Amino acid sequence: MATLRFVLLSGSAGILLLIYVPVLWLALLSVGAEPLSGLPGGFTTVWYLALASNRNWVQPAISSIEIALCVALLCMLAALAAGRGLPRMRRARVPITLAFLLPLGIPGTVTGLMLFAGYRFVLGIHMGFWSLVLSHFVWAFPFALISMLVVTSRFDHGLLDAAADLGASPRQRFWQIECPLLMPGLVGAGLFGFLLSFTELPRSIFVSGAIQTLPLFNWAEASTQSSQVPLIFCLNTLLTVLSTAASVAMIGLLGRTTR
Amino acid sequence: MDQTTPSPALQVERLSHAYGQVTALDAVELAVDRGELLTIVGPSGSGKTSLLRILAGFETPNRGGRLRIGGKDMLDLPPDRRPVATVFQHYALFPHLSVGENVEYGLRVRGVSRPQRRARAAEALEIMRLPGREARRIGQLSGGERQRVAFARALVTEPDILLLDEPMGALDEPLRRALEAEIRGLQRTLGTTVIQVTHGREEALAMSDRLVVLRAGRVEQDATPRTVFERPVTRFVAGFMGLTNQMTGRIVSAGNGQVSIETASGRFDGQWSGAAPARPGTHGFLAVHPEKLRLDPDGACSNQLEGRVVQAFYQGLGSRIELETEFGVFIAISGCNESLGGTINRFGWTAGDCVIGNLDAT
Amino acid sequence: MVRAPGRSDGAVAQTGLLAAGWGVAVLLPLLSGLLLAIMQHRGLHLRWGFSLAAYRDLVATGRIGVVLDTAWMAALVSVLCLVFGFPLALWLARDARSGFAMQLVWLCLTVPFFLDPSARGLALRLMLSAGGPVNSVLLHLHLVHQPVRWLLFSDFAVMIGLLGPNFPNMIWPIYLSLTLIDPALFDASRDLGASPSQTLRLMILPLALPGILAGVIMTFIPALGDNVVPDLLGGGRTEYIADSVMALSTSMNYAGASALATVVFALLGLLLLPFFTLRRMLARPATA
Repeated sequence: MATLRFVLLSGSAGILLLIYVPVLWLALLSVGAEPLSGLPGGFTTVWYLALASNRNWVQPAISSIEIALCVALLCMLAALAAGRGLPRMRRARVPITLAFLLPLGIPGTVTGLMLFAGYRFVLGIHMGFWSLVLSHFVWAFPFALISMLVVTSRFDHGLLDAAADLGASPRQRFWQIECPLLMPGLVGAGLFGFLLSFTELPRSIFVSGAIQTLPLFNWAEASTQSSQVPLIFCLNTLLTVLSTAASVAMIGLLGRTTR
Repeated sequence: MDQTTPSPALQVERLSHAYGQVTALDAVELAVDRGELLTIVGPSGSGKTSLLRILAGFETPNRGGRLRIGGKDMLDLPPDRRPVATVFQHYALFPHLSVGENVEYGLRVRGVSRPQRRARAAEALEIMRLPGREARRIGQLSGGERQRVAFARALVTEPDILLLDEPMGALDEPLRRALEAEIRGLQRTLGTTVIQVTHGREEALAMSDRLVVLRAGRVEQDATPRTVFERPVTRFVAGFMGLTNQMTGRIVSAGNGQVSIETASGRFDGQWSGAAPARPGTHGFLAVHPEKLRLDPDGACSNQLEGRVVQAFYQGLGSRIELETEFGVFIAISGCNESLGGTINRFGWTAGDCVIGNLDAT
Repeated sequence: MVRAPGRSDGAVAQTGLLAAGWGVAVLLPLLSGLLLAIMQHRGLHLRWGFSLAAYRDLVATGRIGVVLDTAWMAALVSVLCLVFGFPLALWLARDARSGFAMQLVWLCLTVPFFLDPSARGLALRLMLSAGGPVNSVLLHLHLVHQPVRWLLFSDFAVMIGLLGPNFPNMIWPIYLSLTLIDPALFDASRDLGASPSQTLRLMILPLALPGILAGVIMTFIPALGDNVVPDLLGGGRTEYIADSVMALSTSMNYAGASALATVVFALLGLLLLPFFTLRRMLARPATA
C-alpha cells in the first residue's frame, strides 16, 4: 500500500513537471541566441527588444484586456446576484444551479460552434466584441458562481437579522455587513472572469468575427512556422509570469478566507 | 383613554401565527410592565422562538393579532425601526468587525458621531466588565466574552425592550450561574424591560419577575415563578416544572382549599392549584416533585403508595430511585444511599407537598 | 406586509432574472445550435425543413470514428489523471501539514488553469521535437541512436499534451469532496479495525464519489474538445473532434458540425449514465 502510494504520488509529481518543465524551457529559449534550434544557449535579450518594437501583438492584447475586464465585471455582478439568491431559493435552486453550471459539461469547441450558430441564426447577433464577451462569460460564470457559492452558502443570515435588530436599513445591511463578508467570493469571481477570458481560445475561434484576441494571435503564430516564433516565446513567457502572479494573488486570497 | 398612567412596555393581543398547516402561536395574550423581566418557557416547538421573532419584527403574524410597544402599534414596522434589541442565541457578532465596532454598530446606523459612539461603546463594555477590549477580533473571544459583547451591543442602543434568545444556551454550567446573577443585577440597575426565551427551568425560576409557560402556541400559565412552580394550573405545567410523579382520578371533595382525588387505589389529598375553583366529580390530576417523596413515610404523610424499586442511580448527595407503581414509574430522591434493588417499598408524601388540578381535555 | 430581513432584498428576484437571461443568451443558442443538425441550410441561410442528410454525411465521411477515437483518448487521459490525481488530492486533504509544501502544490495546481493554451502546446512541442532536449538527453546517454520520432506529432504527444492542463481539473473537485469528510470518520474506520486499503475502498472512495464524478467530467470534457493540442502536437495523423468541428464550420457545413455536436452530447449522456446509476446505488442503503 505504502509503495503503491509512493509510486502514484511520484507519478502525479511527474505530471506537474510535465506542465512546468516545458514552460520553463520556453522561458529559457526566449533568452537564447537560437531559440528555433530547440536548445538554449548564449544569453540574449534581443528577442524581447524585438517584441517591444513589434506592434502586431499590441492590438490583440488590448482587445483581450478590454474583453476580460467586461467579463470580470459581468461575472462579479452575476455571481453576486446568483450567489445570494440561490441559497434562498427552494424548489428552483437545483435546476437553476445546474443550468448555470451546464457550460462545464460541454467541450469548448462544441460550445463555440453552438453559440456561433445560435447567436448568428437565432438571436441575430453579429460576431465581434460583444459575442466574445458573452461567450467568455458563459465559460467563466460557472467558476465565478462556484467561487461565490463557497462563501454565500456558509453565510450566516442571523448576522443580517442582528444588523436589522440594531436598526440598520436594508441598504446599510447590504453595504456594511453582507458585502464585506462576501468580498473574498466576489474578488474570486472577478479573478476567474478576467483570467479565464484572457486565456480563452476554443470559443473565441468561432465567435470572434473580425476581432483578434491575444490567445487567437498566439495560436495563429504558433501554428505557422513563421519567423515571428521567437517573439511568441517571449510574449508567452511574459504571459506565464503574469498568470503565475495572478494565481499567487488568488491563493493568498483563498488562504485568507479559509483562516 | 386615560393619559395619566403610562402604557405598559409591551401589549400582545390575540397574536396568531402559522407555518403552513402548523400552528406556531394561537391567540397569545401578553402584557409586560416597564422594568419587568419576563421569561417565556416551553418545550421546543411551543412557539416561544416565533413569539420572540415576531416581537423583534423578523416575522409578521399571519393569523392576525396586535402588538404594541410603549403603546405604539409595531406590526407595520420593520425590525430596524422597532425600539427593541436582541441578544441572539449564538450572539450573531459581526466577524469582520472588531469588538468596539460591533458594539458601536447600532449607533453607527443611527448616524451618531464617531467620538460619541466610541464613548458610549466604551461605557457599555465597561458595564459588561470588558473594559478596553475594543480592538479585539471576535474570533479571539471566549464564549462568555462573546455573550458580554452581545449584551453590550444590544444595550448601547438603549432599547425599550431587550430580547434575549436562549442567552445561556451556548454556555457551560458554572458560567451560566455567574451570568444569571449578573444579568439580573444589571437589569435591576438599568431598569430595562427584558423578555427572555429559554428552555432552562432553573434559569427561568431564578431570574424572572414573571413566567409565561407556552405549549403548542398557547399560553398555559402566566404568573410569578413561585406560583408557577408551587401552583401549576395544568398537568403539563406541573410536568414542565418537574412535578413528574403524576396520577389521575376524580375530584371528590372540595372545601377550605383542601382537595382530594379518588383513584382505583384510594384517595389522595393535596393543594388545589387549578385556575378555576375545584368542582367535585370532574377529572383531576395529582402531581408531586421527586424531592418530596419519602421512602420511610410517617404519620404526617397522608398519601401513601407501594412501589417496586426498579433501578437506583447514585447521585452523590442521594440516590434517584425509580419505583414501579400502578400509576406508572414514580421517581424519588432518597437521602440514603443503600441498595434497594428489587424490594417492594412503601412511600408517601404530605398533602401540603402535592398539587391537584383540573385535567384538561387533552 | 413586512418580510423577514436578509431574505427580502430582491436577491431571489435578481437570480430569477439572471436565470431568464441565461436561458435566452446561453440555453436557447445551445439548443438551437443542436437543432441545426436536422435543418436544411445553405451557408448562412437557413431554410425551414427537416433533413437527416447531415447524419448520413457523418457516417459516410467516417466522422463517427473520429468521435470514438477522441473519446478513447479523453478517457485514457481521464483515467491517468484519476489514478495519479487521487493520491495527491488525498495527500492534500489529509496528510499535508507543512504550510509551504501545501501552498506550493496549490500554486502548481492553480497556475495551469490560466496558462495560454498555445503557449503550453508550443513549449511542449519544443521539448519533444527531434532536436529538443528529450531526444538530446536520450542520444547523449546512448539510449537511442537516432532521435525518437514518435515523441512528437503522434497520439503519444497528444496524450502528454492533454495530461498536464487537465490534471488540476481532476484534483480540485476530489480535494473538495475529501475535505467534506468528517476527519473523525478516518479515526472511526481505523478504530473499527479497517486496514488503510479497506478504509480507502469502503469509506473514502464512496464518500468521495461525487468529487470523482465531477473530476472525471471536468477532465474528460476539455480533453474531448481540445483543439490546440491535436493541432500543435498531433501532427494530423489522427483526426480529433475539434479538427472535425473546425473543418466542418470552415466549409460552412453548419448542419454537419451541429450533427457532430449532437453525437458528442449523446456520447456524454451515455458515459454519465453509469456514473449516476453507481451514485444512486451507493446513496441507497442496501435493503436485502
